[in-house]
Amino acid sequence: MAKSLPAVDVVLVGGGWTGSVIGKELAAGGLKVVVLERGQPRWTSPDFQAPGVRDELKYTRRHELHQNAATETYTFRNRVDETALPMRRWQFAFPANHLGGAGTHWSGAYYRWDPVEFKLRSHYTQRYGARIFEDGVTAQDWPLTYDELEPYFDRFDYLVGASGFAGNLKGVVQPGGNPFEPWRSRPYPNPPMRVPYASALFGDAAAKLGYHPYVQPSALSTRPYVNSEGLQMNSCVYCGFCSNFGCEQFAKASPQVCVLPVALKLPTFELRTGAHVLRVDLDGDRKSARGVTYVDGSGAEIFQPAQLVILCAFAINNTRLLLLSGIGRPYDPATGEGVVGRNYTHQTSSSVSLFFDESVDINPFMAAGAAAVTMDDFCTDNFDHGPLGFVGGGYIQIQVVSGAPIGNRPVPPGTPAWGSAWKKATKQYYNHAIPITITGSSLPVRGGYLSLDPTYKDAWGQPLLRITYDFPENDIKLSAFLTDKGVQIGRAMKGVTIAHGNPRTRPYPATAYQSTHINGGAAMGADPKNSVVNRYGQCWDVPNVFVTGAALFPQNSCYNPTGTIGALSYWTADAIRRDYLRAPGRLIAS
Amino acid sequence: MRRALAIASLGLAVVPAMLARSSQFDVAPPVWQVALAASKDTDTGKMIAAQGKGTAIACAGCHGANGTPATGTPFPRLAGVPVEYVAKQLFDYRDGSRPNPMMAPIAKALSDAEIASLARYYASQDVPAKHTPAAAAPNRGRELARYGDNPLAIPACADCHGSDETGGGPVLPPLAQPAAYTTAQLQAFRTGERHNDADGVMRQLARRLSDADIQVLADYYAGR
Amino acid sequence: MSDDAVPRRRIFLRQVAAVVGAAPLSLGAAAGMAATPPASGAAAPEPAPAEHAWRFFNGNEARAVEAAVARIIPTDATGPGAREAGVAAFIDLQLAGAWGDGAQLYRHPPFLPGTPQQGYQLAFTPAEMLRLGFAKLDESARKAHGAAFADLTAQQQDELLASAEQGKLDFGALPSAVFFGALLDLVMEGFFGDPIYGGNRDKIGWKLVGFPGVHASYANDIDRHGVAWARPPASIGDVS
Repeated sequence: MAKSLPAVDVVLVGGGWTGSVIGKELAAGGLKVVVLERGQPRWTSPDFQAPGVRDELKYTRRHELHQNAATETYTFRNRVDETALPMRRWQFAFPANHLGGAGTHWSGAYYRWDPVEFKLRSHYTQRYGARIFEDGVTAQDWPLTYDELEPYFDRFDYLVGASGFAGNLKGVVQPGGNPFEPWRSRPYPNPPMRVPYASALFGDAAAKLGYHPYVQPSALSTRPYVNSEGLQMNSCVYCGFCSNFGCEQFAKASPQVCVLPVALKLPTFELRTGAHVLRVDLDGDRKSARGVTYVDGSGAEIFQPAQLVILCAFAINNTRLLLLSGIGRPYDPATGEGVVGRNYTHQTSSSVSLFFDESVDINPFMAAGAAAVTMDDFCTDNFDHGPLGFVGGGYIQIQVVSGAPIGNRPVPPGTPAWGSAWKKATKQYYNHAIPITITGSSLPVRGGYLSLDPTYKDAWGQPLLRITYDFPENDIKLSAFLTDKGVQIGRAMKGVTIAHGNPRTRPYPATAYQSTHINGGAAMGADPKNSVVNRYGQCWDVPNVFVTGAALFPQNSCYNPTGTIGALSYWTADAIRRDYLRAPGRLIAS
Repeated sequence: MRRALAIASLGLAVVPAMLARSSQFDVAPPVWQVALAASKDTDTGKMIAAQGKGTAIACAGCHGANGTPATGTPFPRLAGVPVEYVAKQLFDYRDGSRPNPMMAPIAKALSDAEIASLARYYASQDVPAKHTPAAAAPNRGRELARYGDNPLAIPACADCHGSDETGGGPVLPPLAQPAAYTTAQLQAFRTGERHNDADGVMRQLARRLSDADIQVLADYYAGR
Repeated sequence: MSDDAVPRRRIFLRQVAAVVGAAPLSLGAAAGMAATPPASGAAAPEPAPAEHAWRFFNGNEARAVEAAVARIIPTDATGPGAREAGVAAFIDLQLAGAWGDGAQLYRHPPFLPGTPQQGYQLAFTPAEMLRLGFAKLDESARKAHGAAFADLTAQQQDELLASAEQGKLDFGALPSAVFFGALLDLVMEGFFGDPIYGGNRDKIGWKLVGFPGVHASYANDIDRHGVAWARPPASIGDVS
């Protein structure tokens, strides 16, 4: 029998971005809040200081900050008629294992989603006709608009110290910025990132070809900055140990840097680490949550009663919690019935391998997670999809992220993987190679979904989350188109001797790292028939449970998710304080 | 300098290297880089260091023969300090970006080429042989230098400045200097009197250092 | 080689009692890859690395591992290879620890064969795989040439390794290509990982490519385009 604790107003599952932001907002409003984080605390000082943090083996290869497959992994199959098998060796994506979540070790690429993304189905249908959507694609509109969300994007921008140059201020396109950028009410709080050489060469070539390259926005502060919570951030030093690492400088925005120190000072905010939540506990009629059950570090099961439960775990791990708790009807691809687990998406990434002559020193170790020159000419609906026959787009860029050589030592296609020929090519090209990276949107399909695995369990005896998915033809066409554009730009760059395109192909694998942007399973919508939560993230079936994060995405944009996730977190927190608390336990009227 | 003013007039307090717009991908090379690229000469620098030039008194008078000053003086060691850092500081003294009543007239007497030669000369001098410091009892100075301070949002000094005598990079000087010098610099950053740090990084950090923290850091580094 | 005046700066490194000359940042197109510090004329000889005390591999296995890694990253015209870099010692230490024992491997049954997209589905921990794999490699060597792998000629060793890579050797329950892939990953980690883990001795791997290691900050370098980097590499052990 689980030990039962005194009740609180709100329990949040997960101490990452959404749990920290929403937890702080609700505690600041006087609610008694508990955040349950399964991992241990990690703080910039002393945990992420040099030289120890600059360790590629520890952090990238041995997954120091990542979810450990031995205790919890996903199972995977491409199709419903296959048997899903566990990802035994972990490489697929990087959910985290500690306080701050993936928001600590992320790369800091920072975007707002384009307005079209929120009206994906209706916009493309109106412009190109319904047949532009491939049969079997289940993309749908969001139940809110960019304009409604804009003040919340702004709030998150100023929390994280976003670095960039506004391309559109209050509807007026700003010269020198990204002409495709959606309007914003205020400039970025910090100026754009410094530009690495390879990115500058990319920008020069793209501009010559008539595109509109610009410095990618980031959540890596480019100068000392005091954020909207009064917390100090420092300037990125382009150390090259960014993605997969905690930032030593207080420059990369994270829950620990940007909000938790303030939250922890609030009298009604409590953080419990080493608390692994097993499920949300529902009452007898299964229409209301009583609280959550978690396991502490000693293994003891503990019941935390609460009036309001908010799921703030990593992306699709929130979907798993819904399934484990029996909240909402699980999706069945055979019948098309049910909603929980539906609309799984990833990020359709590809690359162009570039090799240069010896006159171009790339210096790939001078790097940051979001040091890039990018272009939106082929993002969202910024170009004519009519003759192309696919929906969506992608950004094309050169980002200089890391020179750490276990993983970064490009050699031209056809080079052997070992021996003297490998060694010669590796030495020759290490400082004269970099890929163009392409980050494309991802559409959901009828047969792509999340469910509980019938066979394999985690270290606590609970079924693993099963991913069933393969790319729709739409995304393969998209990837081929974008990669080809990338090859053209690569060939126009100074010093390039080889430009080799690597478009995404089927089948979708669990073996190679494509991105940590895995999404869906708790789609936000206007209609309970095709969504799990309403426009505030509130579960249709269990109104005192809210879901946050990328699980809400009905489909994925080409743009990175964190900016939108942050905006939605403030949006949900406001809705709870303004609307939900007036009639707790009831669905917020739209 | 002009470019900095032009950018500052946009209302952004940035230094020239920062991009006020996001469609510019190249920045002009800093003046010290241009000067250093123009010549590899160290003889001129060696001569000026020993004898001075015109109104510029000999560097050795304060900074010691070969760039290592006498113990107990407040003047910084120049021997083995990265060439780019010495060059930049002389340019900054010369145009007033780093105000200093003693160094200003000296730097003003020097041409770009002479600055470059002096910087190269000093960079090539031997760092004084160091004894291994006896394992210092853990103290606040050591903690700040190696681990920083989380509530104050101060990263370890070593993160940028490195842990040995070579410093952290071209314009990140080694910190093993006389305590009086380190104290004076941190205090000058704290008040803003010294303001030639890129992006105001050192000024912001120094503002979060108490007098006691500055003292223990200076003592820690003096013992390195 | 840098065309700067020969530097005579001495850096005292606590761990390594060697004198290392160092070039400052080279400027201009002629800089080149001065990844190896230029000799300053007064360099003391590197102390010979202490013999590695094997923790996981027995003596016979160690010979096979040393021989195999020396073929995967050979000593050749480009400079020292895996043998000098201590890659075998690195692998030994990794397999002797928790990771080698499967601490990051999901090992719950049932173990079923999967599609290539489903990845590794065997039960072998890294330690089990490498131990069994090297035993089988020796068996294959004896079968083909009547001698242990370590005693074959370089060409014979290369051929056997290539066969293993292509899945052509019979290792019983362990596909030889899976073994080779795991070995290759470990060799690269051991050649390019920080020297504190026992490999990349004398930063041989980093010097091959010109990776600076744990250098402090590039904020003032990243936008000085076209300027080559010429400082010697630093490891975590150098600056701790």
